[in-house]
Amino acid sequence: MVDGICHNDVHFIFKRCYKLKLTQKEKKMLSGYYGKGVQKAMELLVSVGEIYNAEHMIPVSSSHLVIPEIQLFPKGKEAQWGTEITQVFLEGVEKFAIPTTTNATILDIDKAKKLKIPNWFIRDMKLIFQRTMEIYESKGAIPNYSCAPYFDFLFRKNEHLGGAESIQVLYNNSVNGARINRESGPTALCTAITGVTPCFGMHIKENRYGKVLFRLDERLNADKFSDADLNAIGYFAGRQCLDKIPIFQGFSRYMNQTELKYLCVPLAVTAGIPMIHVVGVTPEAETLDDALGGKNPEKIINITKESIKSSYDMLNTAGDSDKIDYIALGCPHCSLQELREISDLLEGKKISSDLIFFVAVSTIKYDLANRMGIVNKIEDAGGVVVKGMCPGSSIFGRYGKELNVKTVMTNSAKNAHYIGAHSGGFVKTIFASKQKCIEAALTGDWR
Amino acid sequence: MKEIVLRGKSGSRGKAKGVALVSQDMIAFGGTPNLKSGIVEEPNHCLLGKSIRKKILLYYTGKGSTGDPYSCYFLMKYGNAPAAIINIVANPTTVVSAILSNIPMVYELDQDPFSIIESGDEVEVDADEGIVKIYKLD
Repeated sequence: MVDGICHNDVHFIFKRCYKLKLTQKEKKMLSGYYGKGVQKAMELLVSVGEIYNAEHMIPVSSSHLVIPEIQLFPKGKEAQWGTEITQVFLEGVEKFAIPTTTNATILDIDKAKKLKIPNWFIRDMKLIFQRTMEIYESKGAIPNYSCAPYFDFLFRKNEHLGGAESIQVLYNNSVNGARINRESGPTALCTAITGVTPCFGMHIKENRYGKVLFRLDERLNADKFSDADLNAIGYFAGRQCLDKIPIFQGFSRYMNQTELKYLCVPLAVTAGIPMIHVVGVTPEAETLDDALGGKNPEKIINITKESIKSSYDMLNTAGDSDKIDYIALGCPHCSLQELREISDLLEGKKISSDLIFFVAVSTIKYDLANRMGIVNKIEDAGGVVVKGMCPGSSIFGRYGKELNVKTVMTNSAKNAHYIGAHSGGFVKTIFASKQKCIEAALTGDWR
Repeated sequence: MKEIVLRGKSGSRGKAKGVALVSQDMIAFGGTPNLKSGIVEEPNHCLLGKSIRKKILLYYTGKGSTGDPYSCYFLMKYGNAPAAIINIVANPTTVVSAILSNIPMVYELDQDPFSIIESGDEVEVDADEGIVKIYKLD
């Protein structure tokens, strides 16, 4: 009755009627001149371009990879399924065509013991990690392993980029003014292989204007928002704006990178938004009129105390008697400044032995923080700094049941949401500011 | 039996026939359903407890992770993929999910499908031509 699904062999069906104008080199890629992998990669990019009526491809200056075997499903047959997709595009590819960064992994294997992850859990993962990282790194992938490549690699306004990881897309569009679509894992890989992406959506100025205006209720003071409050606002806005780019008005012009990260990130959790405008901050939103492109907003929504509370209510699922197993900070990965703030708050103090407190950063920031003594400061207090690891949604969401993790506290709406969603509600979450997470880490009590 | 025909754009080719499941909430393949059962487990989701397996799935647009095509592929491998996807707006992550898992997908229909399709309706999707046929009991 149903055609085209539940097949056992990998045989992707691509559109064949190409209308896109391609350069000579792109045509050669499509013809198979550069090998089978390059051809398949170009086919997928062209198919996506056709669907969105792209007129041509554009060269991009980088791509960012989501590697399924080390980020999403690192175990057993699921890891093989991830490879089934990626090997179609990697066949015969010796080097990536452009600088290519890598997303966070599910576990920092070097620190697994400190995180009390049992040996049986990582036994077969170790091999998969080693093999997979070798494949990508031998092709020139940069081993930053981070969901916050924007803290390590900077792009200019109007620079065209490829790459997956929804927060990376949001941050580069909204804070740096670079141009990037909400690419998926597979197309990000295809872009790394070919160096191009179809020109549609966020690559075109007209599509980047804001449509829904979020105004801060005048009784709220933007300067007093914690990281979790900003997350809660983003989480609320995502539930309201469907596919329409939101504009945030009334926020401080002096918001720092960490604050912007927390405001952006939930827009790709409760929605699938590639960009936000923060008036006075986003390079394309010096004024509200700039953000709107001279038009009127389609909708105006007030952010009130109640809207912020509604997010906290949804993300706090633990009961009063639940004890914390883990406190996870660094979703998305911390900037150096944020990591330093955490280490200052912990200096000379002792974290409760009833729980595990850890913070995640990119491999690049880890090396820097290690040299600056920041890692030691946090670990002397009994915490763990993990490098290149997704601090929760992957490991506790997907494997929480298997690892018998019951309660995780975090300052990240994205982390709390996915830990709950991926574990089917098995792992309970406590969502609160970084300050409160650290207080709970020291006392062992979150209430 | 009344037949209603809607026309739209094709996001991923193929044909499918099945029972409609309408979601007022957006969907992420990584996060909304349990990949091993096809049953929606995302807390607070309007489809909580319902299976998307082999359904003609209507929702506004995709949300969530850019790793979605991988999650969708695993859903398909476990035999729990929807039979077809109908969206109002096509999110690039959903388009690539549908292409790589061979799920027919249509979007931007000429009439609002939310005002016509109800969960339980028998629906036929021809995503090669961008046609959706809805069969309603008189």
